[in-house]
This record gives sequence, structure tokens and C-alpha cells, in this order.
Amino acid sequence: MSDLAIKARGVRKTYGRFVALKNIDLDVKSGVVYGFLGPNGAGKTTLIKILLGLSIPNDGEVEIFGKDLFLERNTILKSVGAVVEAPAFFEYLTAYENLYHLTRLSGNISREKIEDTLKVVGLEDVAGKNVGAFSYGMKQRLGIANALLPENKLIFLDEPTNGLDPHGILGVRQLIKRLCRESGITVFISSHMLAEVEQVCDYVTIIDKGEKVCEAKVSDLVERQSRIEFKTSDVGKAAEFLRSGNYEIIDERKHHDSSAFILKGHESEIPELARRLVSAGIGILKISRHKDTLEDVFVEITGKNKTDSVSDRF
Amino acid sequence: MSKLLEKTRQILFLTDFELKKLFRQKQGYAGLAVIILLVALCAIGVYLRIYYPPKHVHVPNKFFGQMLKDLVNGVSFSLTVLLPGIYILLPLVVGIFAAGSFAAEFQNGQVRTVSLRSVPRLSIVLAKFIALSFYSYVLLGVMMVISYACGAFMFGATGDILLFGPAFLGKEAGIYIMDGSIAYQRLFLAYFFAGYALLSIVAMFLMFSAIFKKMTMAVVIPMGIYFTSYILGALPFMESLQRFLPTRYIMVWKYTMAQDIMWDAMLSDGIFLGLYTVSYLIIASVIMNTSDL
Ligand SMILES: Nc1ncnc2c1ncn2[C@@H]1O[C@H](COP(=O)(O)OP(=O)(O)OP(=O)(O)O)[C@@H](O)[C@H]1O
Ligand SMILES: [Mg+2]
Repeated sequence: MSDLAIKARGVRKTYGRFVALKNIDLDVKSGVVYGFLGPNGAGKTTLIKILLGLSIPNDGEVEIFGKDLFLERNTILKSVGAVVEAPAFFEYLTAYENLYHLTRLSGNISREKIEDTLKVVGLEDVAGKNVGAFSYGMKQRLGIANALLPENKLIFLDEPTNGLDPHGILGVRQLIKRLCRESGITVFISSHMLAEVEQVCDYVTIIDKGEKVCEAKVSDLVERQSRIEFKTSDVGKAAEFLRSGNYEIIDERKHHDSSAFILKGHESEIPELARRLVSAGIGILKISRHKDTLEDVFVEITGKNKTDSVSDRF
Repeated sequence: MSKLLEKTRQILFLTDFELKKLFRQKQGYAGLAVIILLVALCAIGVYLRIYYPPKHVHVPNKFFGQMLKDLVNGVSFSLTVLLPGIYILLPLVVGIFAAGSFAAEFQNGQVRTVSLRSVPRLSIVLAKFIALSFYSYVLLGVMMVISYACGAFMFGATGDILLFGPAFLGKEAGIYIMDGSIAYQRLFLAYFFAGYALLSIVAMFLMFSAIFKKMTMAVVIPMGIYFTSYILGALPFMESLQRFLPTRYIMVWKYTMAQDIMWDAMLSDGIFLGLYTVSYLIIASVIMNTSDL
């Protein structure tokens, strides 16, 4: 058996003449949190549906834990769980009953296991309440509980923090990390929130308009370029100084009465730069290593050679 | 062998799940409510016909009124209720419940939630069919008990009954008196085969649910087909069309109302009805299997 939880090759999906996914390859190692990032309509949900056998691709091969998805779907699904798009449950049954009847279809299940899982997602107090009376966030948590049961080794979460309050978002992110670390569960999450992927994922694939634009280890991506951020209120003087000093200005972010310059350069160059700025009489509000956020990376990659307006991309 | 066992187990679990859903929904009471309404209206109608006959009736009909008084009881009343019940009311109720348990679940995503479990999609369709069939028989049983109780209370519990052949078997059939000793047996047979006919309604609605995956479409289209066939079948100059209409076989139970049960006709209609039902289910399963969820 391979140590890949998900292996996809050449997955292509069209809706009529519209191409939703073009030739997607994916390798997800087991035991990691894998992020799948893209703007609205990029094809995240479409790919998750294909990986779960809910939707049939026009082309491509998918293996889950080394088993062919299209030949052994029912065996695979015994240890795979998911929340796809909005969580949908039976509203006139209680949270416990929903989990009991759904989980029973995958194998043996004990009352304790269900109760434990409800506790994990923080729904133990409302286990006996009808799901119809749940708030969206509570349903989202129940969805995660359902994805975990009976003892799933791989779970897909399609925008899992959608509709959660800040407390809930934090809780879910911690839960995802904990599941991965403590139980060795592979988590595949889709998101359009860059900060989220940066916080919880080990690896990320970025897609845009059905095409893979980047695949990397999150830490590598963030550290890819070394940059220095320098903020000052002597904007004109500083700009002049930087230009004459042959510093490469990547970006200038104007604030009310100050500017932050993003420069190319390594962390080790900061002391020298600071000394020179001081001797040139330029006031320093802040100088530090600039950590690229995924947002920067994302805009850079998906916006490259594109004339779309920003609002169109998000 | 163990695979077969597991599949059977899953279908049992799914059916149990479906039944729980059906009986938990408050709308289950809606079926009961319309049945009670139907029984009550029928009771008032029959009562008025016996005790306050229309003024313009002739002398022989007055005699007929006396005959009614003697020959209407729980059994014949229950059969009187079955006729409008199986033509319109129960197909409506059972059909909408079928669409609600399948099309609405497509629309709201519960079909996907269940499909994410390790079950063949065919068993999902099958379990819904089994559960709704059971539910149809429960509704019919409730209707039989309530109407019999009501009829027995108002018009007497036992005795010979008067059967209006034309209402069941067409103009050629006469009005005749059925012996009280076989009336019960006929009542049960009529309800049993009415239930068999309802199964095809369930299957038809499941098929349209799988095709359209939207509640409104899955109700409107088969209802339209059903009522159109029913109306056309009732028109005298459409007689040659009637044998092609799916509703033709739904009245399979009516043969139990003849003086001697018409087993031959019932068998052939029953087979056609069964074929319709199975085809609806096969189409529903094939579509379910090939759909993006
Ligand atoms: N059933 C369908 N029929 C036609 N087009 C579809 C269908 N489902 C999805 N699409 C199209 O495929 C593209 C990708 O959709 P998808 O739902 O995968 O996006 P997404 O990345 O999940 O977006 P979001 O962040 O909004 O959830 C969209 O342009 C969408 O319009
Ligand atoms: Mg989506």
C-alpha cells in the first residue's frame, strides 16, 4: 500500500461546454492537513465531489489509500468522511439520531463513540435536540462530527469554517490540527481564506478557474522570498534614499501620513540598512523581515498576466 | 454470501431510517387528517341519502331508500370510502410524500449526505420504496379501520351489503346484494389490492424525483400525468385511448367487487401494474446511479 491518502491524475470535468476542472493532478500524503485554495467558482467543490465519487469526471484516475475510487468506492467510503458544501441533515430527527442512522450504514457503532464525537465538536448539550432547531454553525459542527464517524482516516471539509462565529472558527481550526496530530487523520480542506490555510495546513494547492496554479509546502511558500518591510513618515526622503541606494522596491503601501516599503533583501541586511537610514536622518517607524502572506502569493500567482479587476478575482 | 448479507443489512437499516423519517414528520398527521375528512363527508352524504332523500325522487326510489337503510353497514360504507380515496386522495398523499422523501432530499442535500456512506445507491432507492409502500398500507389500514368503525356505528356492523356495480365495474355491471358472510373477505381483498396499486404511484413519484431532483417538478409532472390519464380515461369518447394510460391498471382492486371475483382480469392487470412499478424503479435507480450529487 502506498502512503498516499489521495492520488489523482489528469482529472477533468466539464459541465456542458464549460470546463470546471482542467487536468488536475494531486498527491496528498496521509497524516497531513492539505489545503485546497481558490476563489469562488474555482472548482474546489467540484474536485471534492469527484474525489468522493459523488460526481463522475470526464477523464482521470483517482486512488484513495491506494484503492481505485471507481472500482472500490464502497470499501473506500467505510473510512472516509466529508462535509460537502452546506451540511444537510434530517431536520426532524435529533443530532444523535442523525449520527446514529448515518454511521450505522458504514459499520458497527457504539453509543459512547457517538457521544464522544459530539463532545469533540461541542454539541454534547444539544445531542437530543432536533437538528431543525440548530443554527447554521451548529449544523456545520454536526457535519464535522458526521465526517469523523465511525473511525474515518480521511476527511474532506469543504469550507469548514463558513458560517461559524470567531470562537467556532478558532475551535474548528484547533480541532483540525488536533485530529491530524493526535489521531493521524488526513484532512483535506478547501477554503478561499488564505489565513486559514496558512494557519492549519501543511501543504496547499492553489487553483483558479479549474487550473492548478501552484502546489507547495505552506512553510516554503510563505518563506519563498525574503523581503524587508520598512515603515517611515519621511516618505519623500526615504523614497529618494532607497532609489539612490539601489534598493529594489517591490511594493509601497501608503498609509495616512506614512508609507511602508517592501524591499527585496534578506533579514541579515536589516542592521546595515537601519544604520544607513539613521545617518541619512530618516525616521524609522518600523523595520522588520516581511513575511509573505498567502494573500501576497495568491494575488501574485493568479493575477499574473491577467487583466481582471481585483473584485473579479475574489 | 457475506456480501449479500451485508447488502440486506444495509437495506434494512436504510428502510428503518426512512420509516423513522416518515413517522417523525408532522406531515404524517396530514394524511390522517384528510382521511378523517373524507370519511366524515362520506358518512354525512350516505346518512342524508338514506334518511333525507332528495324531494324529487320517484316512488320506486323511495323503496330503494328503504333498501339502502337495510343494506348499508360498516363494510359497504368502507368500500364507498375506498373508491374516492384510491382515485384521488391517497395517490395525492402518498405521491407527495414520495416526492418529499426523495426529490426534496435531492434539493436539500440529504441524498448526498447518505450517499457519502458506504451504500450502493440502488439500496437507497429500494429502501425508500419499501418504506413508502409500508406507509401506504398503513394509511390504507387507517382508512379501513376508521371508515369501518364510522359505518358500523352509524349504519350497523354486519349484514348483507348492496354493491353498485357501475361505480366499480362500468355501466354494464348491475346493482346486486352481496352476502354478509363473504363481504368481509371482499373488503380485505379490495384494500389489499388498492395498496398494491398505490405502490406503482409511489414508484412513479420516485422515478420523477430522480429525474427532476426538485420538489415542485417531481410533484407537478406525475400529478399532471396521473390526472390527465384519469380524466381522459373517464371520457366516453376516449375509450380506445384508455388501455394505454398508466391509470388503467390502478383500479385492479375493483375486480374483487364483482359477484364472482374476476381473477383472470385481475391477474393480467396486476401483472401490467407490476411491470409499470418495476420499470419506474429501474429507471429511478439508473438515473440515481449516473447522477452527479
Ligand atoms: N452542476 C453544475 N452545472 C453547471 N456548472 C456547474 C455545476 N456545478 C458547478 N458548476 C460550475 O463549476 C465551477 C466550479 O464550481 P465549484 O462549486 O466547484 O466552485 P468552488 O471553488 O467550490 O466555489 P465556492 O468557493 O464558491 O464554493 C463554477 O463556475 C460553477 O458555476
Ligand atoms: Mg464550493
